[in-house]
Amino acid sequence: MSKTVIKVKDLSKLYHLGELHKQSNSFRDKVTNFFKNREEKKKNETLWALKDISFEVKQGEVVGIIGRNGAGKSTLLKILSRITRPTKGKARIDGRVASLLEVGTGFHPELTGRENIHLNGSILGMKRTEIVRKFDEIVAFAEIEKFIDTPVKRYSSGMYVRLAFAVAAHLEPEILLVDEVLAVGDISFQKKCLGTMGDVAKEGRTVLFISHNMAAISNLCKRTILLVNGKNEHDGPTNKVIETYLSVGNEFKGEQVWHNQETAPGNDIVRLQAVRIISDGEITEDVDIQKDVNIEMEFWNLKAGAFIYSGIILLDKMGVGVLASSNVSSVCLADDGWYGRPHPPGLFRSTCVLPGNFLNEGQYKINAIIGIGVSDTQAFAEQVLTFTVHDTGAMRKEFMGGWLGVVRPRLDWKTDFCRPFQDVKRL
Amino acid sequence: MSNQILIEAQKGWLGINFKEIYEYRELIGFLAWRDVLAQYKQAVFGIAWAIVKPISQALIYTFIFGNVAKLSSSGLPYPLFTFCGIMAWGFFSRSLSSSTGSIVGNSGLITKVYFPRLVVPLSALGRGGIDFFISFAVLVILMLVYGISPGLQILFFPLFLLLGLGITFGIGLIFSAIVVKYRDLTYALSFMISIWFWITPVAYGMENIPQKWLWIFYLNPMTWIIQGFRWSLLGVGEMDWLKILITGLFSLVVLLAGLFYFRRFESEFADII
Repeated sequence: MSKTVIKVKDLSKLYHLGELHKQSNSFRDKVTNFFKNREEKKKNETLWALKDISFEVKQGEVVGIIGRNGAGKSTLLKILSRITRPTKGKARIDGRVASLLEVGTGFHPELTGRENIHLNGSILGMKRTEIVRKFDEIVAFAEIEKFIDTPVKRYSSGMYVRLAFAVAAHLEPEILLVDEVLAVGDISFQKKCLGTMGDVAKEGRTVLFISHNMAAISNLCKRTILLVNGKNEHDGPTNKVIETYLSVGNEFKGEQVWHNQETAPGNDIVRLQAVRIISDGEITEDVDIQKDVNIEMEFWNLKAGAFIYSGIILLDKMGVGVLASSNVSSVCLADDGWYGRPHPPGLFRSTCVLPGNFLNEGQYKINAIIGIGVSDTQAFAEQVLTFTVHDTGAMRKEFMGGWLGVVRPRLDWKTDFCRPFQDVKRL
Repeated sequence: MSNQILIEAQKGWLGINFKEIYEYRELIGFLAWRDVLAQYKQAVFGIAWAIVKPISQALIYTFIFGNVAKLSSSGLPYPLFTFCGIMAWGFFSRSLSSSTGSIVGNSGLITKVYFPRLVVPLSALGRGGIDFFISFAVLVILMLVYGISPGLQILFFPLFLLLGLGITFGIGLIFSAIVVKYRDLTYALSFMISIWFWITPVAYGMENIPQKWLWIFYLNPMTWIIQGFRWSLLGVGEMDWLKILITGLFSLVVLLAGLFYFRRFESEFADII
């Protein structure tokens, strides 16, 4: 039996929400805060980003860590990489650790590729002799030989990411901690990264791998840990844990309701109450590609006479923006009844209709926004809901392969017969 | 290379792991090298600015304080006298402001990679260091031009350099940790530096200060550092063991306070930056 290289015991991390969310953090604020009454100070709530996490990892294991946004995955990796300290508990790691929370950390745009390889290598913990020895290999891996003496600010984003990953891929640590770095770059680059990760694992090194990409997790990891609200809920064979994860997600099923007005997104002017996805008359997170998708937002107006707008941002599963829309008259089809009029205090409901036969199949995420004026955001719920558009086969009977694109509207097509073949005289 | 890492909640005021900082000496060098390279890369005159700026300052002070206000300069040619002060002050005020801004300026690194956080302010000293060496070369040329050669007391020069660095780096460490939380104190610092400049004999000699205001200058440790520079390099003014000892103690206390304050808060940097 191989030895235990990572041992985590009762690891906990407490965050003060005030610190996380406060926009301006200045000495003046601190002084004004001092004079505020205690009632207001209580709003500075705390959050256990991690709570009593314990697990062990043996040498050579590749362990996936999954969970929803805010479940504590990144906090866990940050603690294990010693970027931040735990509030309670301890962890012991045996071996040389490299953590990749981001590719290209410390890259300086003014410096050339050559200079950045040295700088980045050093930041990631390589010795100078080690960098010099691996230099040619790194350049070859990144395929940027021609541009090695060009400042990286002139690189295309693809070249930049390739160079950054090339440095990281040559780290040769005994223990590798990776956070979602594969979410960047094009498909072929992602494959290269996954391949490199697989090689690392085959060489008997230990890997902790955070990702939302379930395909990557199940390809690379035999064992997976599922974090739910900062707790280590499930730890076991990857297939089983992923299955649990997907069913846990269904608790929300196309609806997010904030029962406690105090903690709902918003402020003293507006508070979100609920966001729902309704298709075919039902609250759901799975919609038919042909059917309309209604995105419903319920919010409280707390200030008499406020001019309120509602908006959504639709993202694809990679987090790329698909569209933004709001009930501001100039950007929607018709007046929605309330935009541009003073709102009395009370509960309002705005509904946005995404027409059927518009989105492609796949997963989409919604950011819900309530604001005042034209663009002064007051309540923001990031990636509050996710829904999946399913092709039921009705839309494409002829072609069965994967359909390219973020949207798949039915467009107007026309084909004319210009002239018969015998008219073609010259080329 | 196998090493064990223990991760725990921080308890109290722990000591500083100098061995670890020594292991990261290459990173200190690389970060300093990056700052210097990036600073001069897109400048037309590049490193020439490091010569032009102190010389033009020396000419302005010579004109205003030497020619217009007719202040004395301890019997030295005014440009040489004031250039020596500008060189010292420039180095210290730059190491103070660059170490202060270093943590916030490198937030991208702080939140993504582990290394002893002290590496960052240490590397920030590099930028001022390069300028200092250039100014020093200019000073040597000026000394040759005016025919002034230092005596044996030049051996004390490194001591004054270190004491001055201790004071400015110590204050810089405290501020670098504070501005992570309260960004607006950066302005307070630049305000403080500009006031500090005028109560330090950089542009004029101590003998011009009215008796009743002298105590302000005496209380200012930078006065003794600048006086020490002039005494050790140009052979003017007076220096005794007591002044050196008091300045040395002050420097040590400030440096230790800075190190401990920094150490106390460094583990929170990634959470609040």
